[in-house]
Amino acid sequence: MDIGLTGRLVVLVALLSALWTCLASAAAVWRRSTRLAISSRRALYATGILVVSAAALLVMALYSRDFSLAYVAGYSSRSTPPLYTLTALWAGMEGSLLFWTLITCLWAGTAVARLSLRQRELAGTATAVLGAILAFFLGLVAFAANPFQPISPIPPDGSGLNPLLQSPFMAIHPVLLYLGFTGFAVPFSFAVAALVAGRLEVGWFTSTRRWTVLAWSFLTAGIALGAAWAYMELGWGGFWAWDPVENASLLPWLTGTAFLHSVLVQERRGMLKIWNVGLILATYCLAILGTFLTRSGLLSSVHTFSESPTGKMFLPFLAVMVVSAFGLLGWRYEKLRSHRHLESMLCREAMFLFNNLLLTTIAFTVLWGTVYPILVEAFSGAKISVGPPFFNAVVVPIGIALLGLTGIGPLVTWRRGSWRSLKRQLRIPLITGSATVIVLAAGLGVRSAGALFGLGLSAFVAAATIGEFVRGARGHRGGGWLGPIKGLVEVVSRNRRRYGGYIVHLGVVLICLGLSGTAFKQTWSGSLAPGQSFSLAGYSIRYDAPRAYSTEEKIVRMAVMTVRKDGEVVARLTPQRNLHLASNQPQSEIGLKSSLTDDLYLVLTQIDLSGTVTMRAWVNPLVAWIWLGAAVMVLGTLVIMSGVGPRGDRFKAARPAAQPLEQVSVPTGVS
Amino acid sequence: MKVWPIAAAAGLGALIAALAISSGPDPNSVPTPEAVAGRIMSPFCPGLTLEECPSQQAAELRNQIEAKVRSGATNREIDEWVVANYGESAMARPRESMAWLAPAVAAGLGLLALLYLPRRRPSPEPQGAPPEISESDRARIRRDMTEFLRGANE
Repeated sequence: MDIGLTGRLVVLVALLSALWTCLASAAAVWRRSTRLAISSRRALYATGILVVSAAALLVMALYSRDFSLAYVAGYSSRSTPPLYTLTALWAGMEGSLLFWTLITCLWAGTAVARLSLRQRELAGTATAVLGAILAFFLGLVAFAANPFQPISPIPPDGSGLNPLLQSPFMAIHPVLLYLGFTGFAVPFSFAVAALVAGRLEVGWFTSTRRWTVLAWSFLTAGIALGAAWAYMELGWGGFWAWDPVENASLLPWLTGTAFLHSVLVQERRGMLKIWNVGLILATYCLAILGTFLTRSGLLSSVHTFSESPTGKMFLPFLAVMVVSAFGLLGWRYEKLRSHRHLESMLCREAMFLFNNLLLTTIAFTVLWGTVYPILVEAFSGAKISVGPPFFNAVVVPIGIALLGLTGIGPLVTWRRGSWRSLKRQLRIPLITGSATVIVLAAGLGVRSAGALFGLGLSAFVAAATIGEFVRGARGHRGGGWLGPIKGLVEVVSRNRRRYGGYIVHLGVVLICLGLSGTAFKQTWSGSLAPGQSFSLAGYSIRYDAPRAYSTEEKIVRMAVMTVRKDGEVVARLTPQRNLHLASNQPQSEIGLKSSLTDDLYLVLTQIDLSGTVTMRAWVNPLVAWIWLGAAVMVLGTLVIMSGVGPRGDRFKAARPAAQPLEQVSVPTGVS
Repeated sequence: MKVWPIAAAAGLGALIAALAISSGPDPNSVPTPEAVAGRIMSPFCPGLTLEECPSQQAAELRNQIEAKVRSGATNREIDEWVVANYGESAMARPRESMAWLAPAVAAGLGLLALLYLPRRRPSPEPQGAPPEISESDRARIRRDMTEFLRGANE
């Protein structure tokens, strides 16, 4: 079987099927035809099956080392290990686009299958939108970035996978990120459908909430793993460089986070309809913008794919998406306008609005900083940079305000909060925060004002959030010494969305704890001969000896280092400087001793024939808390997920006492 | 129209701008080598600052900067030397005010919208009394509500 030809054909048929999905579904909505609607749904499922088959063919070609395909020859070699042969599927532009399409198909298929009955009116238009998105991506895969392109002459071996991508993190990180990006296609398509139908009540987002929360959760995990990958593999001692591609992944996360908060206001109070639709439209458009930026060759970054015309084709697609989505929003503007208004600036609604203001300001800043160099170059031809100092200077203060709001917001009640009750609830958090600052400054001698403030604020927010759990659990406490725990389990399981959200907030606090550790990082760099040592932040690090060996795929050269603390050996690290044979690229593997208090991070930059090494070393306090915090955030979203959907809705409805009767609005004049 | 939302918005914009500007180096003081390396994009690794760049050439450039600092060069002198050798794109902190102004303006406008728009008096759609509900509709609503609450308590 000629895999190249078969694959190409499968992709072309999938493209036709996606086009039919889009057209038939649009016609079904137009002509109110059930038959066409069923046909379009079947076409969507067929598209999914075809795309899965195409991806399976490419994976087969990769495993059978079919170097007659340019993609296989470009991203794998005979010595590529089995796991990374699979990850080669998304290592290059062509494969990654096919993979992106595959995941979009999975999201679209599950959403349409689940919602075509419950949201009959919206599902038709949403299917058409999803079909159009799939048709665009399949068009790219078929005509612009064909992973089944043959190569002639057929090389005896492939050039192998970039060694930087050969990491377990890189095996999962793109998958999670793509799951996150593409997942927003579901709420996006239903938002468009709601605009088209003029049905802008809460239905479109409560029905798609599962997909939104899940996509957000994947995106969170994907960004965190990307940071972990940068930390473990790139060897520059940090985890976030405000690199354009990192920024591109952060943008939809920021607007998506804003959306998850502001929909609560619409759900509870019927306000912010325009804003919510706008946010989710922006979120998916930003996800596409990110894909465009990484594939256009406009930006230089370690993450970007090679320059190609494919990226340029995103621009018209993005333009059509933005213009039509926001055009629809403008068209429906009057209908969406809320006839309610804030009763006070001290209420939960206002807190969510401030949260949204801060998140969108951060999103704007990140977007602005990312595209500003492109704009300047386009208009004046000058090459300038916008680097980490810009982002840190603007984003960190806003982020701190946002963290403070995370603590205060949940304590304020809906409609009209009371200062007196807020003051009472803030007492313990404020004491906790101040005590933390005093202990750190007086007890541990911390002098950095920024770090003191950050850590104090983290403690404040943690105390405020934990206070919510305590207050909630008290109401459900049973007897006996297990009572409080039973109460906690009871209150969380009864109100999973709310307490899941608080668990996410606790994860954010842990991440902030980890981030404030960067204020205390210490570095060392220099050369060492075997037997020499240096000390850094209480560690004494001795270079014992060089060592080298070779495998089928690389020549490994390492420095054996003994790490002592207070005279005791705490670790033996072997930072490496390797030469990958297939690509002839050198690559560093770090030596890392990680603990909850600090990380010792060693990078071998050079090793010469006499055995003398050039090294850089970092002691990064508290970094491990960032990964823990991200895990807690994902855990929180799982709790939220378990409370969303038919089951969760019943939980929510099961406490009518919490909602005074006057707040249950009975729609008047609506049939 | 009230004045205080405008004042608050302008205040927030000014605060962000001030924080951003105060984070910049004082042109006439002598910096630490780490501070300089932290605000120069490495010409040798895409997307990383000189402080972070692991390449050997970056280490040499760091050494050159350290020598300049030791000889007492000020922030301005060092920046000029870097720009002369590696171009404006080596400055990780953009030196044009446009770059810094935009986020401050956006935050200010956002706050203005937040303080002003949601409090705007509703447009005259819900005029007069809400439409009367007929007795049969009222009965239906009552029945549905009872059913709903019963279902919820199960």
